[in-house]
Amino acid sequence: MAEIKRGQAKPAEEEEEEIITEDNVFEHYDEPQGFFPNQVMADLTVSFALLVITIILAYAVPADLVEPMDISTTDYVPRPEWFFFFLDQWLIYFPGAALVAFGDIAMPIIFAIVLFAIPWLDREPAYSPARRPYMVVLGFLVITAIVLNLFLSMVRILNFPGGSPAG
Amino acid sequence: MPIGNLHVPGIGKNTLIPMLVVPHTLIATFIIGIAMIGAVSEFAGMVTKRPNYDKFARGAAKFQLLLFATGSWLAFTFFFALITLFPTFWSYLFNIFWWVFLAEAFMFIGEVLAAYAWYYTWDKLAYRKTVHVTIGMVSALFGLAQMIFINVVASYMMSPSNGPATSVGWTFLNPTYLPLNMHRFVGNLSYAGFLIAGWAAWRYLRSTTEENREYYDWLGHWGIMWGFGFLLLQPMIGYEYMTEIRSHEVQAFRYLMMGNKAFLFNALTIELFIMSVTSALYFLHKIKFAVKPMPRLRRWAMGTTGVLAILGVLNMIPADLYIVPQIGMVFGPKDSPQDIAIDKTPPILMGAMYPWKYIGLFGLMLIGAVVLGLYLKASAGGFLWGRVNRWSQYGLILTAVTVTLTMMTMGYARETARRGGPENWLIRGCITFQQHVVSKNCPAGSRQAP
Repeated sequence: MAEIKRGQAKPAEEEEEEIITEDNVFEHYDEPQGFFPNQVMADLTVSFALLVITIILAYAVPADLVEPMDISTTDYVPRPEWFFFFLDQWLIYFPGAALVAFGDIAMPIIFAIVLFAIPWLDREPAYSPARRPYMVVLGFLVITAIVLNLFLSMVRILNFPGGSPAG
Repeated sequence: MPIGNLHVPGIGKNTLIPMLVVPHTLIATFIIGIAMIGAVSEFAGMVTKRPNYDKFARGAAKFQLLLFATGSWLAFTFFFALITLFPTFWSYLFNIFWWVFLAEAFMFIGEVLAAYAWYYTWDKLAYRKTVHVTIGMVSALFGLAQMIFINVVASYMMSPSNGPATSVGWTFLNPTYLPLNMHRFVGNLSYAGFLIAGWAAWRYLRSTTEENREYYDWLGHWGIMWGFGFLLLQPMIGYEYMTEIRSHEVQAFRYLMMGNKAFLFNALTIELFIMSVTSALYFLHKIKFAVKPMPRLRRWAMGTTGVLAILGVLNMIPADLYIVPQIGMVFGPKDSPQDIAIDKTPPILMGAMYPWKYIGLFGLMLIGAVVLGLYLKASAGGFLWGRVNRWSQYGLILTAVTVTLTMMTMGYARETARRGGPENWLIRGCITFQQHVVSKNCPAGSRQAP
């Protein structure tokens, strides 16, 4: 049975805060840390891994060259590559001469500016997604919008007679 | 008497189907919405340790079970009526969607099991909350999956795929399937959110204890955040949905947007106006009760609410004065729907889609997000609960009534879109309303190149 101490409690001791250095930073993954070198190192590692995967794929599964261009055809429907389908879908939402430019030039530029501005917009120092719900929800919405637009575009192309998502 | 030729006395067989389907849809979508909100609430309660979330989630689970039997009964009666009164159509539909209906049935079983387990293990799993939250999430996902499967049927009937009807995959790839899913997913959450807020308001007005006043005030706030938050996504998604209809089913688009059913969209803009402005006014009122007074933020909220109202009015301006021809509300000329292009100048300039309604709809989303953002900022510091006046609660009840009407307006619009043109399609390009199958291999390839 635990002993119950009576009388006045002694004052609480101040907790000593551990100083975060480069050596112990990974034991405190939820603490703020400098962009350089930690984040840069992490980014470079992932980029290098992606580059290796791409090189292996390029050797193992080479992309075939398609047929030469046929300039005599008039029924060719130009389509963007699949990874630009989501952007192609924006053309549907912004019809008319004025709005096409807005949809496919202004909006991506605004989006790129917002991406650059993220360090200033998201000032929350914590890393955990649970502690930065607004940014997580916004990020999730952006990714969802891109993926859904990709699928919407594919389904649209598939459903027109003679439509094919390739090329 | 051969089956299918039965006559329903008084109302006729054509009216019987919507009489069963409309209440079923209103109940079922509410169940799906509240299951998702309830599951997220329980999770939020676990993370934040605030008891209100858990109390609401438990109430939601109970209410969901109470409604379940009624909603299911309506669905089965509807199926029974469809099989009896429209046997040719049903047989054709069942042939195309055999796998979908089978999956639907299993989703139903899954939802029943998970929903009951969720409610009845609340106390038992109180110390294993993660497991319990997971059961709630599973229940919500089964409900969502039910909607995703039944949407194949609903979207395919309006816009069949450009592939063979015998291919299960192609039935999913019909042009309006994805937009319908997005539209209904967001719509269900918004609908359930507003109804929760309306219910909370009613209970708030009838509360006799301080504890209840505080809880129902909080619940009204929680419900309307879901309702208004997801409502903001709807203009964009609804616009996308309409764009797909325009691209693939021009006749349905003209019938809905420019033909005899254009009044539905005038009604929709009025409903959108009521819901968005009432929600913004509610936020404005609530900000007064922030623990830390925020006069500057409230002034900002006031200004943005004004802009929101102006944008709402912009959306409401009709393209012409041919408003509801069915009841004689015709005050001006109307061009032939066949001649109207989307960017053609209509009789009332400000009612044109291009650019006014674009500004109205996108503005509604952006300014709405600002209003919500301001409110969230105020709520971060906490509110003094149980102080709001009764008018704010009448506002919440108004949004709940309006969202129900919106669901009915939009449900009717989707189903009636197949009726445009002389054929009166049940499955577009395939089966007419008189259950006449137009060709053996339909609906494959029924769409013409644009």
